Amino acid sequence: MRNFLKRYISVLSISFTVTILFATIQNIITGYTKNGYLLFIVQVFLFLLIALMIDYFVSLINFKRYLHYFFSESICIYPVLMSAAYLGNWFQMTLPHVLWYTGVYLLIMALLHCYYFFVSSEQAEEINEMLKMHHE
Amino acid sequence: MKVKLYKQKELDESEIDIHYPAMTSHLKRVITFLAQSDIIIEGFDRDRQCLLPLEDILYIDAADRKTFLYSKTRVYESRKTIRELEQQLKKTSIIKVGKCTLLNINCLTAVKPYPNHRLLAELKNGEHIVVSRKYLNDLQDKIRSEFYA
Repeated sequence: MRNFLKRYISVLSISFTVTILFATIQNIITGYTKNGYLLFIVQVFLFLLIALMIDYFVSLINFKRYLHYFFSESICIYPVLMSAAYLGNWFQMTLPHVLWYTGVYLLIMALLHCYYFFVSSEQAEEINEMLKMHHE
Repeated sequence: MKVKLYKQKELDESEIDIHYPAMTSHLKRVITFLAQSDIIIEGFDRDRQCLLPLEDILYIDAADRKTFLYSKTRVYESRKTIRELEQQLKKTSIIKVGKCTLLNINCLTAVKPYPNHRLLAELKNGEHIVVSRKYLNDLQDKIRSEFYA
């Protein structure tokens, strides 16, 4: 349970912060001040909770390649993102907007996967170092 | 390291005293080996009973309600469940690395990252097993405490 919470709380925090940061910077640049910005934040939080649930179920699949895991998870979460965006009126449902936000979504997903690859690599390196010293 | 042997017929079982100036990783390895050397696990090769020293077992896993013990070259069946073995071997070099997998960390040679924030563990015989992300920190803590406490 400790490890479960450690992983999911950190990924929730990272995703939430990056998304809100991105949305805020974009609002500042475009000069757009949403009246329902707090509601938007709650919607993002709910979307991320659902995304984490999907991540949990996708992680039960035994992927052998990082790319398969990345694309499968991205494809599974994408419809939820688009539904949330449509219902929450996050952006206009025009082709340029959809493409732009799809790109941003894939970028955030890629960064998250890179982050976890980096964490795993660090952990593996530390374990290998201990094993090497033990075997010497 | 000096090794002195004294034969004492009046003893019921062998005793080992270790006198050391400072604890080293080499000495720890010797202590772990000695402490675990009398742990024997019962395995079955078909119906033939085999008594396996713990250091010979690389990993243990369960499939189809059967428990298997993997040595370097052979696979034995255990009549115990994975949970029973986990409890029995709690204070040894055996650690849970998956829902149905126990690993002997003394037989671990290296690990590498694997998708889903898991690790792929390479064993002494070249076999690979997956360390589930749920048990990653436990494995790391166990190696740290077993080898460097």
